Amino acid sequence: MARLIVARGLEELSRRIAGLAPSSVLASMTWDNSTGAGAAFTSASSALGATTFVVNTLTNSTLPNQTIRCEGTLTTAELNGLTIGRIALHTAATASVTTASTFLFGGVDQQSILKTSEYSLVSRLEIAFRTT
Amino acid sequence: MKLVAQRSKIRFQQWVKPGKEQSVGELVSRLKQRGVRILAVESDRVLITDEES
Repeated sequence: MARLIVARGLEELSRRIAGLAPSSVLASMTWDNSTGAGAAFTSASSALGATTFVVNTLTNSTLPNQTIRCEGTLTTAELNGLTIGRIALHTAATASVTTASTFLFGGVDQQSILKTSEYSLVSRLEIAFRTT
Repeated sequence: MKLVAQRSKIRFQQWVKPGKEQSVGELVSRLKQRGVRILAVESDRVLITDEES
């Protein structure tokens, strides 16, 4: 599994670390069914690419002590029957995030989570950072 | 000057909440049947993934 803040996300993070107002805020989380090494996020990634995904608004985004904590929820009705391969954060509202939109901040990949209607999922991504 | 954030990492967790007609105990049983690794159980949710870089 890879966990990655992409180049654009690092720029945003740097602004926060420097005490500057970020040019955008973390606003949404996506879960998609892209799996395998070929679907890994790279530092140059800026969009999800072709895939089946669900995007929801973040329910929590805080910045305490050099950690950004974000939570998003998949309801019992969403993304059932598919294997979730990636979870990503975006600096755009849900309506603006598409497979081609370049709002990607970072995420985790190479997951294998089979979602069913038996349950909902709350995904929490905690981004810990420090400068050197 | 461009600042670069270094040594950033993402801690990833999946909290599974039971469905409307399902208890946490039933959910745990079904997850185990499917071979899902369960890390923690609370009164209203189950932690199934917790990995750090």
